[in-house]
Amino acid sequence: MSTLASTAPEDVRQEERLYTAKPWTLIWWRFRKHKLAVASLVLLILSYSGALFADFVSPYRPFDIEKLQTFVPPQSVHLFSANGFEGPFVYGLKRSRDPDTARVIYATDETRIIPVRFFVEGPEYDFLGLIPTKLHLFGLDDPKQKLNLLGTDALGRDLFTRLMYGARVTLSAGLVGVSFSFLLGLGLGAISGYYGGMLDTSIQRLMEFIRSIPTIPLWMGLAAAVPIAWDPLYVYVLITVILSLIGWTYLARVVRGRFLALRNEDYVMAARLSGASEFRIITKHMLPAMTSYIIAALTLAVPEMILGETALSFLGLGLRPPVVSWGVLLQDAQNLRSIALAPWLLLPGVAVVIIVLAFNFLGDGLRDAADPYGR
Amino acid sequence: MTALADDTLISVRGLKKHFPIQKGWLQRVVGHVKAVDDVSFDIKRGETFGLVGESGSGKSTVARLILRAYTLTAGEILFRQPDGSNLDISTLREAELRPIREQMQMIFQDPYSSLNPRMTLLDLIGEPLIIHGRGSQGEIRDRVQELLTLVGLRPEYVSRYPHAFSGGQRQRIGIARALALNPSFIAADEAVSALDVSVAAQNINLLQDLQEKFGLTYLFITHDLSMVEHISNRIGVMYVGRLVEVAPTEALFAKPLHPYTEALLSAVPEPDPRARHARKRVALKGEIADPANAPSGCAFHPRCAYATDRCKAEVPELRDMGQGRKVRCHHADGLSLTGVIPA
Repeated sequence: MSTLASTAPEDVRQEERLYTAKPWTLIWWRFRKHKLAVASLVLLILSYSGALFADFVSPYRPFDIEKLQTFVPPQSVHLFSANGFEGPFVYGLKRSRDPDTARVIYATDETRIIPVRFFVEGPEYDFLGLIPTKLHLFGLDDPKQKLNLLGTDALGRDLFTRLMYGARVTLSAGLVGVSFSFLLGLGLGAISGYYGGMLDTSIQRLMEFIRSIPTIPLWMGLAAAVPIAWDPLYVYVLITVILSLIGWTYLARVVRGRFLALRNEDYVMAARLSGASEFRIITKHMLPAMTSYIIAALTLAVPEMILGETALSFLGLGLRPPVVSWGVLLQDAQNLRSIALAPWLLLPGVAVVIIVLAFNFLGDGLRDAADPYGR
Repeated sequence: MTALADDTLISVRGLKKHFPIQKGWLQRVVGHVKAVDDVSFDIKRGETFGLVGESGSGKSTVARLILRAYTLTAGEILFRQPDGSNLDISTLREAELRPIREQMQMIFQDPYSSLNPRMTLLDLIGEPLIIHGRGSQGEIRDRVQELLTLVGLRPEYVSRYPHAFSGGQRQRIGIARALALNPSFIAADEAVSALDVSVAAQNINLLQDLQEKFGLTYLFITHDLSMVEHISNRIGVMYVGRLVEVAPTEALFAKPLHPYTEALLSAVPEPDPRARHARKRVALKGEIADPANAPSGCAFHPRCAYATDRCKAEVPELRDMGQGRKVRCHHADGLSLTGVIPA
């Protein structure tokens, strides 16, 4: 190879790079071409790190009540005032009451410029639950002033903060639910595809039966069986298990299909004729050909879990306050008054849409890139 | 178990493979596809035995049965061991077969699906060596490079993946893999059918060179009669799971004894346009019979121009006609069929 590379022109070296590229490199090269999927991947990485470091990223704590700051509309961050460039700042808020309805009205006070600082001291918290600290990514110097990027709710709690904390639960529920259904789906799908026959038929019929049950009533029934006094953590785990009880069927189909297709590949037969053991055939020949497909299928299954959690919690059957999740946050938007007076309470719903779309685009891109050897 | 002639490497006796047809919920068996039905033949050491027939005649199944990729329904496969003894491999279990697998290998039809696209040539060709514990990593690498050179590829290609190669080159990689363990017997299942004529010819020549060099024995399966004429010493013709004629190549092409062989031979293109008019064309009526529902008597009778009532009722035996020829036809003695080369 070295003699070839040193004497060959650049394009030959490029070609050699392609010819010796590992399968995952080829998949990555192909995935890169799918711009929307790459953008979605970046967005998802940002969202998940935001959720992981929610306490650092958000300026307040999710349960900090501010009696005089209820239903504050989203505040916008400005860079320029009448005096020119100021750096990021917000205007002060003037609170007054409508003389007829006695409703609180907030107006921006353009004479008061409050600069937004990065890495400021704020309410104390334990970073990642371990290190006590007061440092926040951004905030205001004056603790009496509040920065509500997405407004506040009926108790004056900062919606941005709650959205970040809720992301922890909602986004991880998707992953945990998918890993449960992955275990079920991979196991049963592999048995179904590998052994075939009666076992395959029974598993297939079982899956069709499960898929034919309307999901919402089934979830409602199962969720109603969860004791109300349980620790929210147990409830959370149970909810994800309930979600994955249906989600696994989709994955099992993908796995079974790949097993059936691969079992009849000539290269699997060739390995068998070389004397390879079943274990070697499965681990060296079948699984590597399946992983990229499985990852794509998993990615496409996550949004279903997120939607499921949101729907259940919204209906009051899943997680309940004081746990913060996007579905729980949306409960606040259930009545007409909130939608009329505080439409920003619907923002967690927008967040759900964005995340679900991002997962779908990512899954699409992965699925297209999963087989870089298409003829 | 009867004794083998000294020069016989493989003897197949009464080979049968019936695939069950399953239906419904409980996978009830409602019938059988008789893919291979009572096939017997011998392959001599160092020869190339050609197996021809239409698609669906069961020729690939025969090869896979001999290599024990499938379990047999019935029959014996006697395989001569290096020490000269005969071993019936038809009933061995997978673990017992492993040492036998070193001696018999296969070359596949599709050069694309027969190579794992996720493995480098080193892993692909080296896999049989690893499985059978032939040497250290360095030794295996040397051996793979040696094999690549042997099949006419550059030894530097070891770290490339199969997608870097053309169909003909991939087929050579498949040949290198088959040779890795120094087998005595190789079954080539339509090994060149997927390739261009010129590339196919190169690979055929390569196979012949290798045969000469290593004293290999081939079972060469194809539907291409001009190819089989070129490479085979003897030919078996299959129809609906049965062997209908076995003969030395020259004799078969000069004077076929079975009407089906005659029809196959007349379909071989004649390169000389002036000679074309002189040839008699025997066009076959209809399709090959369904092996799940084979016709009564001689399976070929619905398509045969010479069929009589006896053919409909009575299954013909594979009869020995002398000079190493066997035929499964009631009327073989009476018919005078035309071949494609002057006798």
